[in-house]
Amino acid sequence: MRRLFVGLCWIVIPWYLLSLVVGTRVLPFPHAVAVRFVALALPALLRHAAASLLRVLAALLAASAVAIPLGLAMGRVRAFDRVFSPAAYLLYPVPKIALLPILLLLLGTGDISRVALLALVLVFQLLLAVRDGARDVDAHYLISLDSLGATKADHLRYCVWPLVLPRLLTAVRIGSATALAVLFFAETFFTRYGLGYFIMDSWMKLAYLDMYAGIVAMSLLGFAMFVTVDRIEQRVSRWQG
Amino acid sequence: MPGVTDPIIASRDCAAGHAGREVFAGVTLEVAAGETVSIVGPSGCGKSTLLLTLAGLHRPSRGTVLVDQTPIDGPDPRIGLVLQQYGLFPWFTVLRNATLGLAIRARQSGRRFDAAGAADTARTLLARLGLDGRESDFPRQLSGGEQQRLALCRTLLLEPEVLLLDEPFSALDALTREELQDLLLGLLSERRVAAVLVTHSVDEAVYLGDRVGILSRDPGTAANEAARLLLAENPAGRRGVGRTDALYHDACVRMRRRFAEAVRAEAARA
Repeated sequence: MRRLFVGLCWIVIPWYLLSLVVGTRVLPFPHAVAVRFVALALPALLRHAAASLLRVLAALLAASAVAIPLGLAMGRVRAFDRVFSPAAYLLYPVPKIALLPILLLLLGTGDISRVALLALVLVFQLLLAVRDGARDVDAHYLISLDSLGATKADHLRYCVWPLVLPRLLTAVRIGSATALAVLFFAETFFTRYGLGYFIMDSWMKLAYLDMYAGIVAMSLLGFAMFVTVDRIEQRVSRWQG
Repeated sequence: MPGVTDPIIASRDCAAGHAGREVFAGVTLEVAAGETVSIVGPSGCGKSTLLLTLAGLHRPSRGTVLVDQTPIDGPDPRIGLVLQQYGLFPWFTVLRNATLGLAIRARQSGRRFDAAGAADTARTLLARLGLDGRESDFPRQLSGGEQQRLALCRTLLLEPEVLLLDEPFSALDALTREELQDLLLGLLSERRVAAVLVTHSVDEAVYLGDRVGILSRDPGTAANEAARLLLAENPAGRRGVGRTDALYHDACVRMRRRFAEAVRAEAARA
């Protein structure tokens, strides 16, 4: 809690100073934004934040559904790695945002395109984290399991997965930040819901207080996601001390 | 040397190695219930490979391993293995580590795993091994000696007929090592399992083994020559003989000298 307060001070104090310098019409004081945020929270922001969150969660689910099994296979079976790693290395650096027009053409202008875009942002990060985690399993753990009569499925359950999970969560945390940034852009097209839409719409209406409230909401959404992943990571990585 | 009557585990003219090179060959060994065979040898002579071969975890290039007169071709539930690095899983608690083998065995035999029953059994043995109250700890919170006790506990809970121990006390300080050696002696006598222990300590081999073997290449042989196992009755008489007797027995002194020669020969080859 104390760390959160210190973190807020680092944002709010410079914000006040900058407001004084550039003028409150362009950059309103934080307390004015806070009041507007509370006023807007229930009627608008919550609905928009929920839409954004659902898109991120759907993308995370879709990316995980592909990245986890494929990453485990690539990490444990060399043939899979030889086939899929070159493709992953080729596609990973492509800026996924550039694929939005293609996705809109292929999948339509609905939410599926936006979710697919976010999933593409996440999938390679998760895939490589899972693959590396599965590949780095120390052989002596597997020998130890074999001595207990373990099967390949037991290897995955009792050894590979517990070692992969912390890496996967780190990738989710890092990937979520990128996903939110891409989401903001993706929500400015063909939708009337989502924090990206709300921020851009407020900007075009010159409703700056609303716009800033939207930015704060987006920041809080990212914060909530980070904290949640952090908590899960702490829980599953307790053994690391 | 005459064969053992009713051996639980036996290897017949076994050879094994890595990448097409045999590290040991011609190993014939029989161990009966309640008997312990200690095998000493210099580093790299194939002690661990021999143990993994006996455990069914490493396929011999020649020969066979038999348990109760039946050849095995993979891990066998009658065999328990304690590894040099303990083989504990750092992400599981002490209790989960202890009961993991029971869970795996239960599922493989199609039985429902009785987690509560297994936990109770494990707690009893953990307490016996001095780990009571540590059930919720993670392995990193245990000392080296405690980790070794846990590894022993996990294997003993499976009630193996054969216990294979790969340099189980090599990473421990002298006092803890002696304490655990005595604990092991007690458990082996009580459970009457056939045990094979590999170690680089002649003193430990003599203290714990009914028979002692040396796995090494003869001096003067080529570097790629496979090591051979030479078995002898415990020169100190029987396992568990007083430490001082084991240490200063004439035959033990001779064995230590021979072992030192083998180590020097290995170093010269390298």
